[in-house]
Amino acid sequence: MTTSREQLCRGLTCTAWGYFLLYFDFSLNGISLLPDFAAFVLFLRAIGLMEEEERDLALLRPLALALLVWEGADWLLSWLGEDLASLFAALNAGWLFYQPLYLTVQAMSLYFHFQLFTDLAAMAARWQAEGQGLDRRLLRLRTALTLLITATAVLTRLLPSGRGWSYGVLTALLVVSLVVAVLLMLGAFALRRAVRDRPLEEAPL
Amino acid sequence: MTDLWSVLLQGLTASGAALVLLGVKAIFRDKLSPRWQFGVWGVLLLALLWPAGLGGRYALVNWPLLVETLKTALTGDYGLTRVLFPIPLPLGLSAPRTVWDWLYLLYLAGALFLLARYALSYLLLRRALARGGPAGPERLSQLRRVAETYGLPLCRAVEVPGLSTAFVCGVLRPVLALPAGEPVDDKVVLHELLHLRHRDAAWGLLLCLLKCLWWWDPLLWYCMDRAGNDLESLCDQRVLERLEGEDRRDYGRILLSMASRKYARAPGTSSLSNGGKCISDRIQAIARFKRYPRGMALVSVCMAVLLALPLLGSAQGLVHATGIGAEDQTEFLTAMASARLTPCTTAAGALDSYAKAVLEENGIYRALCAPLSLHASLAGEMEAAASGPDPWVHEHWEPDLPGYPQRNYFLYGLAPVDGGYEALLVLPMQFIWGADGAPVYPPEWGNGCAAAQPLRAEEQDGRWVVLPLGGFTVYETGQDPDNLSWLYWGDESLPAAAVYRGEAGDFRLEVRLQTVWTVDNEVQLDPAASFFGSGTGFDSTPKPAAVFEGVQLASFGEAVFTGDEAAKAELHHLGLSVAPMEEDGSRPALEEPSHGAGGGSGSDGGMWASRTLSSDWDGTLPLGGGSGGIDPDRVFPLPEGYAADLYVNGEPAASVVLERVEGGEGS
Repeated sequence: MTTSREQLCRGLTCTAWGYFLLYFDFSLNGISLLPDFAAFVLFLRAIGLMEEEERDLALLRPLALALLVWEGADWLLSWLGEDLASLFAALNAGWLFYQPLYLTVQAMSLYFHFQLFTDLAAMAARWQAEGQGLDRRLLRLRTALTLLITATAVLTRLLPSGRGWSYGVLTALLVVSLVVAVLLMLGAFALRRAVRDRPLEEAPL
Repeated sequence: MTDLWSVLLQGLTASGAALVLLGVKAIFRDKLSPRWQFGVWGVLLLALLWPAGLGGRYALVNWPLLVETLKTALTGDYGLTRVLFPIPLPLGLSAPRTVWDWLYLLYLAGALFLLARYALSYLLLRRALARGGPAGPERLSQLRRVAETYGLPLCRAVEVPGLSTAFVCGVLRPVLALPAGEPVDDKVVLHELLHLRHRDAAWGLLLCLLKCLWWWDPLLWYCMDRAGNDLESLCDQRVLERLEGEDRRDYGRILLSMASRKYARAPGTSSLSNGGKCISDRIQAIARFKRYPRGMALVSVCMAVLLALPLLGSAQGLVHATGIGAEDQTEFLTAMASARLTPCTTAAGALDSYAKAVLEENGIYRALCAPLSLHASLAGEMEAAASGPDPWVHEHWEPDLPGYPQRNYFLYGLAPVDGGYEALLVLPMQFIWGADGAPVYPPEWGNGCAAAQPLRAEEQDGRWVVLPLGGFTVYETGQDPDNLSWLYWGDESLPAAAVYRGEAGDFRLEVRLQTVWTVDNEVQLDPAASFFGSGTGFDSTPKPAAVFEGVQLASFGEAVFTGDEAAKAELHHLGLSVAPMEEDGSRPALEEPSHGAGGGSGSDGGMWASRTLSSDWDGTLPLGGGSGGIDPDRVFPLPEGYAADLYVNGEPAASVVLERVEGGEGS
């Protein structure tokens, strides 16, 4: 396998495991053992490895960095039993900044995941075997994830708190999100397989 | 908006949203399409049109709290700022009395001045266009060709001498203005026809109107200019989507040639040229042009939804003023502002807040459920207590309790009355103040005591408030002083919600019905924080939106002999059974009391008792019972009467109906 193909495969591996870290977690005494910021470390690495193949991925680097800083700060504060919301609340003017910053981070996160898989789908269109349909599969998963993230944000705000059925709805959304995350991982691995198995003479590189 | 403070509140709310939007747009400048860049300004438009602080909520930043605190600090006014409409209205406008009234008038004058100026510039423009002539045949032919090629509508076209560039003018009767005697490139015509097709002149007019309303806010003014430029960039995107190859580069060159031209943006017009800096930005955007992939509309809409969500608002929360003395005035004013902004939305919430205000001696809690007209006097009371020789915490308030309460409360006999509710607030007491001012503990009284105060809850100005109807009265209850939570099951010493009476021969029969209304105030204690480990405690934080968790019905009754001694001597056994009449007025089946001694009660509210009488019988037969938790929606109407069966010496003696003689409002 050529160096650039190896890079692509490593990048896709990083992407897949990044989604695992993002959606699955184990905590000990309130401290996450699979922190979200580590996912963005993997995503940054993946962008670095794949940006030669898909130039638009470079546009995601600043977003990944910002999200890494945000999640990293939150994880560090968890060691003190705090989080970013309480840190801003403790600051005199924190009430002025937290909500706007959080909103911006939500928007960046939504766009990041959407565009990442749009770019991977574009790669899949070039690398997949004839009739494989991997690109369409990745686009559908991307759409599903975008809608789930938006629906979760909307329903978290709209549903009345303290009602059992509200928790039920949000739990159902969480379960569906986990399923989609697993499918995204499998999609990334499938693309990696397509890149690895594509005969050299047919490779788009 | 009817005063300066409502203008400030609406403006700050929109400015906060504008700042966030500018930040997000900067992040996504090279990632999302010009359609999204312009469309997302709709979020700002929503923020400008949605009355700020509506329903006691705030968007993103708690500007209502800041404005209320500032207003009270500067004016001493404890009233609530309300934005009824997002545009200035002359409602309640009177001769200005304060500097704040003058500033509001200045704001109105500025808005009107700008409106007049824009209207005049538009009229002058239309007059100038009227001096031009209709487009010539060659020009018309060009316009028709471009319109047909790209499937676009056409409007009246005029050629005007001295124009530097083409533009569309007017919303209802648009006119395409062209420079007379100068050739106009097809791509410029395409640009203007696309403005016409999408009615962009209407957006321009809206932006001008918003500039008039928010002339004092440089950030919003800047945003209106940015929105106008984004509209032009969107039109560029539409042009480029219809052109290919070299034509796109030509279009960029045309824009570049206009960079040095002056332009004036009149309301209701669109123009290809919008200033050198903006054209430079547009050319960079053209260089980045791409056809955005399928699905981009989805993420654009989802992001706009996410950004618009905070406009739904966050609920206000109470702020505390726990500083000792009157030093931290800002904290105190903020706490009072938070009480104004956190209306009690239910009668249960208002009563709960009042009860906790009394239990905690907290004036901020009292302000939560007090009429706005009382806030100034409440603040005065708290300030006096905090400023005296023995200063309290700033939020301390004296409810004139006759002793020290336990941490719980009950509401007895809640009844709907004249558009509100009346109830008796019952507080179990740890001790009562004696005549010498020393605490008197229950063993000296005998049984546990409770302090009760009649209250009225009603809606005023869209918020539920509580008005005391009298002072506290001390009752000696029949409860163990260490277990006064049993007041939840009712107590004979406390007033009844309804009283029923009737006569049966030599007996006077009476039933007293109590209703005990409760709000769920149970909280799980933190095992680490509680000496007793895990368990439950009383939540002493007001719940302005509380609902009643349940109602306990407690009934007490008695038969009293009213005959002479001779008749009394004939009696050796007495039995009584009562039950509420059915809602349709029919008589229920009554339990027959035993032939010995005993009693009982049923879940239907029925009670029965029997007794073998001794020679020293006091002439009474008491009944007691309770029917447990009732759905609050099913309490009313209270029974119209009670059916009663009297048994004398083991034989049925009378069947009567006890009529309601007191209470029971709300039937």
